[in-house]
Amino acid sequence: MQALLSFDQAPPLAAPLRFFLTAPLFAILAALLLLWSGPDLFASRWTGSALAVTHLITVGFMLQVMLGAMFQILPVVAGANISRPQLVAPLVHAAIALGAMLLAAGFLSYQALAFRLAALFIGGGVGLFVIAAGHALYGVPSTNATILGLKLSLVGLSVTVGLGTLLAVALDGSSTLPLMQLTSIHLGWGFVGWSVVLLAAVAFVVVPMFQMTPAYPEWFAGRFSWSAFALLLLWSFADGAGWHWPAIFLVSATVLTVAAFAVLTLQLQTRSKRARVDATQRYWRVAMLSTLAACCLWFAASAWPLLAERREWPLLCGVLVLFGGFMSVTIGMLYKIVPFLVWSHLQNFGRGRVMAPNMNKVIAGQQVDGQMHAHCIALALLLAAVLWPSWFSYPAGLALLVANAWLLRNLLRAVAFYRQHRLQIETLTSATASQP
Amino acid sequence: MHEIKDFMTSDHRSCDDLLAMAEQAVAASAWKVAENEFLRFQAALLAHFEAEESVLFPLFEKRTGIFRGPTQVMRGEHVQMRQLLAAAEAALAERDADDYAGSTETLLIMMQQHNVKEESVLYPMCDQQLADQLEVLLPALQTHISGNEKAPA
Repeated sequence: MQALLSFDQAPPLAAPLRFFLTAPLFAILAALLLLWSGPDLFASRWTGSALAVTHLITVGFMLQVMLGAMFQILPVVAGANISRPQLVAPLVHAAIALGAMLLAAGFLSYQALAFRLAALFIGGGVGLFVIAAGHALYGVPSTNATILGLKLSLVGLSVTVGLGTLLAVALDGSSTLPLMQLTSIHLGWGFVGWSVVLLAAVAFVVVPMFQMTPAYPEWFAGRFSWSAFALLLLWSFADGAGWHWPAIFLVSATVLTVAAFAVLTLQLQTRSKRARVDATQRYWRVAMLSTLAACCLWFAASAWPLLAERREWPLLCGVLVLFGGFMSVTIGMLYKIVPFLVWSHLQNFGRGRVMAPNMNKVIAGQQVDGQMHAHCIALALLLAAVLWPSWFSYPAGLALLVANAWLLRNLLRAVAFYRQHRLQIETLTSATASQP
Repeated sequence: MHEIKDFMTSDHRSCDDLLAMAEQAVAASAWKVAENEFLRFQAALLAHFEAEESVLFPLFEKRTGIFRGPTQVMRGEHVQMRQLLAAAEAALAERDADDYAGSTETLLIMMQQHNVKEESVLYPMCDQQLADQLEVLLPALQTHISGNEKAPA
């Protein structure tokens, strides 16, 4: 009952927006780093600059947008409000933004202090968020697959950051921990336990409702997050214990589960009743196709040892998953969330006496489409850069820079639109109020 | 145990389908068809609101004693959706496809986030609280929803 009562306390606009606005800055930093390192970045997935770019995107971009969106999603889907968002959001945001920069600096300099501070800030920020969200979700029954997925994803995030912290502290070389093994477990939890479980939880609601497709089958939605989570957990133990074949079997089953999610989503999207396919829907398709391509590539590398030995395949998988999958879907969602929030806050501000302009006016459609094309070009060039680094590294860096500067500009336009119309509404309502 | 949730959720989906049909007609510039489809959608959505505001919510409020809680928020969102419906209707009358698309897109998101709240939290609570009144409640909801839906046809 307590959860129900919190419907009306929608978080202030600044709570999610601060995360959304800084995310593109980290992608811009990643692009600048790519331009600065050039083809060397693609020498292997283990180069300092490749690891720095990876974490600028995962922590600086993905984690920020996902946490910002959770402030908004939790009250809607679970009736669970994070209490004191004015305090929690800025603290979590500042800690994670600072932590992402320190982590990138750590990978570029290999200074133990940078890693330790990064672990402190990211661990502190995520820890605070998980406590706040856990407190809001406490006692909320998992009545559907989305609520369950959101809860499990928070556990997945905690494990990812916990392992990351362990790695950051151990990277000075003094540790006897099996670092390579821990890294792959950290990566598995980050990609599947946190990101895919969260993405699927959101997809189970967003795809059928906003894209007007049939619902995900009950047998799939009800089991997906548990299955992915259980497989991941068993694989982590098998891998950690050095059981080669069980580990291979379990990781294959995990990748297959993720691929099934992507195929099912694509198949549902072909049955959308919407008259037009908009940018958000296109971004979802790019994301699901990229995820599927990454899964296929992973299986190909497992089957052909010759492919597995090449430096390109993990990098191709990484680009497909990060830039093609998660980044695409998060940008696509931003183009719905931000204009709707702007409309909703303006509408509440006008108290029904002044109508807010509809959400399609918040960011011009042409700008959204243009940015999406820039993102797709950047993705294609990044893939090409993995295969032919000396030819495509600089064009890829430039394209990534353009796509994310464009994204930032589109989001800032939404903020300017909000400010301008808020002022207009203020003037109109005060004029109405002062009339006799 | 899920009677109210199932019944009301299926009406949400019918409203979605009607909105989609109107959207298809507008995209094809079939304005007359679009107007008819929109009227059907509008009537169905308003009937749904009325069923909640005059039957379901008062019963829930009476049973739980909570008058200023979730049902009040839902009523407030109904007001906002009625305003968006009016804006879409005006855009349709003016044959302004862009404005219609903008108003209905906003309405769709408003409607769906409202539906998620009802389907995942409020309706399960109603099922829990009003289980002993289903025999009266379900036919009353049915009358409101099907009665009004037929009106514009």
